[in-house]
Amino acid sequence: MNPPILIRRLGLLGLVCLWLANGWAVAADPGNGVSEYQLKAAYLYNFTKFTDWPANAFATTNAPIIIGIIGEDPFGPPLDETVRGELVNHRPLRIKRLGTDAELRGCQVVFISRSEADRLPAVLGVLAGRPVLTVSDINGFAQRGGMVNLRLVSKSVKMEVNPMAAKAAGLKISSKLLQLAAIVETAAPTSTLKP
Amino acid sequence: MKTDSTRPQRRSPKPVRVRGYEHALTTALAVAWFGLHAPAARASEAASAPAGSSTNAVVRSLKKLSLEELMEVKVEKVFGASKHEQKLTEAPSAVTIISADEIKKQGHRTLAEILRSVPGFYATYDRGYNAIGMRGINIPGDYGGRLLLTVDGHRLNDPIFDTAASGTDFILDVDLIERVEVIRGPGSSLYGNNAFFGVINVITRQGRDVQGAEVAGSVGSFDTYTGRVSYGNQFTNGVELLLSGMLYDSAGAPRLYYPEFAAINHGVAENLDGGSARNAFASISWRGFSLEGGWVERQKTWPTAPFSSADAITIFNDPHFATTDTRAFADLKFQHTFESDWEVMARAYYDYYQLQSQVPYDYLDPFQPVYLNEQLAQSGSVGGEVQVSKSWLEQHRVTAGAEVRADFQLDQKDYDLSPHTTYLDSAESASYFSLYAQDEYQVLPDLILNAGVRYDHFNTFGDTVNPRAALIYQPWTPTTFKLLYGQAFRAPDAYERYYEAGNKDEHANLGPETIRSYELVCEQKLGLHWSASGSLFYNDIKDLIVYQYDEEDGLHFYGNLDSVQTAGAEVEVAAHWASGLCGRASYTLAHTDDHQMGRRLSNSPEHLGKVSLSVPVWQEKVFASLELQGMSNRDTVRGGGVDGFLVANVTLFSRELVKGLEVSASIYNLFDQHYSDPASGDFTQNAIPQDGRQFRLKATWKF
Repeated sequence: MNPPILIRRLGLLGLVCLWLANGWAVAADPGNGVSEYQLKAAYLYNFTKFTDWPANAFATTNAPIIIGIIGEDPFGPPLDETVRGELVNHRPLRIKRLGTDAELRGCQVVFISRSEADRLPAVLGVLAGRPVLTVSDINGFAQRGGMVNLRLVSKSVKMEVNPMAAKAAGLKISSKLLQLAAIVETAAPTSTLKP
Repeated sequence: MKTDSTRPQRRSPKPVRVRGYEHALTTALAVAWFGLHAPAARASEAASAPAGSSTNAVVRSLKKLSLEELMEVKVEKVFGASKHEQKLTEAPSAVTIISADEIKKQGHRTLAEILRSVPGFYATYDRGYNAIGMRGINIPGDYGGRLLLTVDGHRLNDPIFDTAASGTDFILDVDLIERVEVIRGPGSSLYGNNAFFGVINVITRQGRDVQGAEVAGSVGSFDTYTGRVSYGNQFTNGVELLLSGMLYDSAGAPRLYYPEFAAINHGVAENLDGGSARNAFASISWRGFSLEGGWVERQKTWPTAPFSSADAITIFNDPHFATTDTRAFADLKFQHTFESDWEVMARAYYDYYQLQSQVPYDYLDPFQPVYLNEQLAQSGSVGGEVQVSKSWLEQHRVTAGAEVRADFQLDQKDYDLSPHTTYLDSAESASYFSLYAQDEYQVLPDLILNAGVRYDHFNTFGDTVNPRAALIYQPWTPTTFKLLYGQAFRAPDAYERYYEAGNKDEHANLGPETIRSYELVCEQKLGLHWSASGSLFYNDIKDLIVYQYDEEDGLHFYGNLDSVQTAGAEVEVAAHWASGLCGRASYTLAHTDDHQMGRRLSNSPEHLGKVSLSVPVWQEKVFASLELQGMSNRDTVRGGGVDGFLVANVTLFSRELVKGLEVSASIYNLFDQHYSDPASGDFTQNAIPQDGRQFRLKATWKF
């Protein structure tokens, strides 16, 4: 068989392949082309259901649960789409992209972007002792005093939780979540803003 | 000086066998596609939502999942294909990822065994070295030089033989692999030399993946023992550390029968298949910096007595025939993403390789029946690479880089020990520098154009420019089409350039081998659990370097003398359930056409198929796995051929039955199938019979 004939036959088969695939339009489902941060957004949403905040964490009984993103936002619109219309313990969910560290304290959940890796001690310092659930995917986040690290392991997202850091902040993380997570035990960071 | 032919030749003369290869390509393709279409049709019947519901649909279904279910969702991303992490479906190549979990469950002992499970790949063994090849090309004597093998992005092919070491001479213990990314198709536009048919990137486990100490040991057929000790951790100050060491020892098959040597010891090589290996690996990282290094020393006795010629006969059944391969590297890397989204990577590295081989010869000298000939090859290299990448105007992601490498030592020696006679004493050096750039352009929301080009300047032969372009079209979330074009090269290695240097001037003109590759890939998700992919490929290989005998002057030399065309198709179906039940089946059809010889290449199976299945037997703690690998007949270098075969491997794997303990039991070649791999022209044998049924028991304890 001459190469040109081969190419022609392969080309023809390519068209057949296209045609076959056209008939394959299948509904989108979670198995299909899930991107890392779409998945992590779903985790963030779930965390609000498995965390108990002390009453003083909210201004009013129906105040929203605010999820803040500090640093470059890796989620984009899918995160807003994830929490849209959802109520957790009768509270709506809000996403807030934070401009300054001062805004950190107004949140119930803070996601610390990888862009803040070098500033991690400072960010955790601002939140030390505050009832704010800290989540990140910075390497060794839970070991360095963060509460929940979302690690990518063999294409899956796994949780690493530091329960002592959560306890020090007055948060209660449900045992169901703890059972599914790898537990990291290090002391919570102390505030950098000592009197 | 003895004739040239006394020297061990690592590359084979060309095949001398005629065989028709006109086969029903179209029919086979149609059958393959029909096979795929059947499950697809069922999936579309089950579909309820309209096509094109895209991202939001994915997000909405994700939020409905429980935490347990979220943990089972796989993110489809890959690092290697365009040098920054990206979704698998957006990679500008056909990519396969093998995870550590899969390696454990299937009981793979070497990198070569891991690669045997990858669609399109096959590995051969001549009881000296493993050689990996893909899609119909694995020329005997090549040792994987047309595939680039890297560990965490660090190049491992040595500059003397280009070997992609994948057996016990691989620099890393298989247990230290986090995953293997196999990128099919030419990769020279990013990776340069050797990325001819594809790139194999091995990602190592990191300190935090070990978190403590690990001890592993195994016992297997032929008195094979391995032991490993590893320690890894991530400390509170952010420093991450991994240290590991491994020992391997095998007595090998006790009696190997080669009818070609029937005159000596009835053709039996007794206790000559043994080998031993030691390797060590360390990595330490802090913030953006990481330093890693590896070392392996592998000794192997050869039972096969190759490299004979008319007046220098390799002595059969002699324990002196042995090779020792030593490889080492150190790689310092810095990686950082700046606030402005500039991603920067810089690395500096050192590489070392040494081969020491001893061959006992009979030079037909009545006064000295045995001459020990020794070959010593040694290389030292240093290099560096800088790469930046940044997103522009939302739609563009640009990657650019520069690389420089100096092989400051390329020594090859060949001499008899007593009386000392030197046949070759070559001390050379070589270097190259290169520049590359790639743009990933989001033309439309569902269309990506990925284009790149790399310029390499070698001090030996000059310039080579290799472009690549990929159109990636994702009309619906579950469907991706990739139209790929790429060019790649393999530079002549030091062995090809200098080993026969005394013979002819041809080596001075030796240039790179080149390939132009065309591929159409179609990837399809079918519901939650199934995925399928299909590929049509055509490769045009020019200036293939072959070992040639000139009848006019009776000399051997290397030249850019051959061209090869390959065409074929590949299909794969994979399934995965949260319970751990998973499976994969693939079929590759490959036609090769060797112009010089006017027939198909030797060691080129037309049909290659594999199936793997892993079933949770008890509580996601005990898994039973099965692997079937088969191929059709192959031609051999000396004429004749070897039959097709089908091999089955089974493994029972358990974890956490006792806290921290993993235990596995494997049987390889379950049905004791007799099959052989074609040998290179250096061998007297036409083909080398492979091992029959073997077992292995392995335990790993973490604490």
